[in-house]
Amino acid sequence: MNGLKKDLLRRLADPTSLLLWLGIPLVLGSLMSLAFQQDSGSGPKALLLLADLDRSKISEMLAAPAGGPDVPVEIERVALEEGRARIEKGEATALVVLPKGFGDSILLNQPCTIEIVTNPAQTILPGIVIGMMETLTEAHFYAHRVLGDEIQMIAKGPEGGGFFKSLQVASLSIGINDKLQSLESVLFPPIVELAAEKAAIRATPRRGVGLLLLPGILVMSLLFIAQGLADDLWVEKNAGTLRRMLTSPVSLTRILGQKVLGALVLMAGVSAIALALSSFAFGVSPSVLPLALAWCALTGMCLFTLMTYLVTLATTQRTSALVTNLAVFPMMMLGGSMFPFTSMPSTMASIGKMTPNGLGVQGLDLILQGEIWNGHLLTEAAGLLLLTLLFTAMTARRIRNGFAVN
Amino acid sequence: MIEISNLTKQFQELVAVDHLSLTADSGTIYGLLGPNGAGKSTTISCISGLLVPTSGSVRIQGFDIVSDAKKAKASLGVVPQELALYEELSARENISFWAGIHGMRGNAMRSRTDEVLQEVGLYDRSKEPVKNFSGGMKRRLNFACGIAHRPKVLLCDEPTVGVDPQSRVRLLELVEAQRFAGTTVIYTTHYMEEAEDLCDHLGIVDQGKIIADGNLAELRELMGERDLVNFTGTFPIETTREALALQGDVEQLALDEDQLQISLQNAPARLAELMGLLATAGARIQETSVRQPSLESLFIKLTGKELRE
Repeated sequence: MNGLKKDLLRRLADPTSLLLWLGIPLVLGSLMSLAFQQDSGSGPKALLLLADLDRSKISEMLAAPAGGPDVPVEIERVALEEGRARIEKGEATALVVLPKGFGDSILLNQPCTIEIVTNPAQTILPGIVIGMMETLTEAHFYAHRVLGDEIQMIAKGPEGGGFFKSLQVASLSIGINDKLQSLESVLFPPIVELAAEKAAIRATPRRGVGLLLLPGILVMSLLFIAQGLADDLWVEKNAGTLRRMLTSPVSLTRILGQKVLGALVLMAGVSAIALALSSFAFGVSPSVLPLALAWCALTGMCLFTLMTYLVTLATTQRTSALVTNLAVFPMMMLGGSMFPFTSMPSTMASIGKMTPNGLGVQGLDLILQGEIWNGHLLTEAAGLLLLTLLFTAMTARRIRNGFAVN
Repeated sequence: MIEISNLTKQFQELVAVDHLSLTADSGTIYGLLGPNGAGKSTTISCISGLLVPTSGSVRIQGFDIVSDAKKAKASLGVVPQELALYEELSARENISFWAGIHGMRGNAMRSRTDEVLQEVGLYDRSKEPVKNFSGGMKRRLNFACGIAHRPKVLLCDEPTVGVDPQSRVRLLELVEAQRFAGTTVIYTTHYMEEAEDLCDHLGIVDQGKIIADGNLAELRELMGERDLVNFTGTFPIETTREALALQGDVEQLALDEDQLQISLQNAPARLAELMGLLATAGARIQETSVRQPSLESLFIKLTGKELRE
């Protein structure tokens, strides 16, 4: 453990690098959090200002506040002057002015002009408001086509005022009923039949975008940290400490093993902080955090051994940075860090899932979803361990074949 | 004790070490003397197990460095030419690490670290990061890391390169202290004075081979008490060679258009006669130097080139 202690002491002696490594997941996580902070809501809403100059029952029905998170338009009643002033300031999506006589025009099927002033600074939301108004207009048209006489009869009221006579009420009801019966073949049963079938698989709970991207972002951070840590092999080679270590009775495997352990401890430290913050920001269940931490450490260890092997392929320290960059960026793209596997073409996703970081992303994703007993997790863990051993053996071979001496 | 037998290291066409053999006993310092590129560092790399010899063998305390590497390396300490230190760590942490990697633990390691820090004169600054140290201090620490585990065989690969005279003296004292402690020291250098002052036995290396070896007295005898005379100026090659040939005991070591090196007995007394002879041969002498028999003159005699080339 002498080498492990030495590597950790060296890292602690360089707090700036440590902070930078810790900063990678935090910065990426914070950016993601900012980008998707409305994730738990229903998306942006249009604010519709309604100036009701009619103040009839019909106009009040239109202006009744529509509730619920799924309704994309929020209606606020305003006076005409206030509405115009606010739309001028760009404080709302649109101003709709219902003119005097709007209610009568609706009931009696008479022409009527509704003024809509939209906010030019917004592009999509005004379209929603206009679409909604067009739908209402069409609804009015079809309602009069089907029940025009009855609506007009109700609108005009009983001749001479007072109440409708019983015969008139019965006649109105029969008229409405007859028309609905004539439409029965179209409306009941519906032409399109909905066959509801319960899916065999368990429905996955809806996850926010933040939680969806979290595994990829975390593994991407580990990839960057692994790249930084692997550079230490060149630092040791250039200083001559690697050669000096090889003249000691400690075997190369043990020297490399201690380096890998040192990387594992650092990765676990950074991951612990990142996961704790993610739990707070994205609502990751605390019960899965220990396994997620172990998984991050395993993934980080595998990525470190890969990067360490890659740096031994280079002829200079500068070239080694180029070599690792050539690997890091395609790996990020394929391995589910930049784009979720579900959004990739299937061939690309299949290749990406076989990469070390791809295995890490898949496993972490399962753990964060609470699927800790999933068989895939064991397969991926075995894959990561095998790759770690393979890369370590390949690195040892490179060092023995001249990396340390040349 | 270290025994090297017919050690050869070949890199494709280049033979860096060519059938090199030597034996060094406990409590002695064996100097490997040669110019840069002579094969000294490759030899050290083979002895320390960094390079696998193409042929031949290296035995440290009786253990073969290839087939019994762990046991052989357990007795080995290395002071490399480069400053193989962790700059972020303190002197104490560096020494403890190198002692620990050789198996020292706990109190034994702590007390040995203190002892070595005292020996190299860094005890007062043992907690400072190495990056704050001067070049000389780093050299001493580099040495300390090599002896922290009390090796039986110590390889010093040009440990005084680039240090100030004061630190050099201190380092040479430290190497001598190892001899008195019974350590076998293999010491490579291209500083003649160091080799003369320090080593009990010397091997002169050129092009991967030991071209002469023995103790200082034996090597001086090879020179035959002859002085080395160096002339600079302008020398017509043919007439100069003919003029020198007439002087039976003058040995011509090197001759080109602007330099002449010869060896002869009692040179100071015969210098005027020699200069007259060369003037007659058409030579124009600008500068003359006479050196007493030394390793350097021997090296020039053996290889025809300066040691620092």
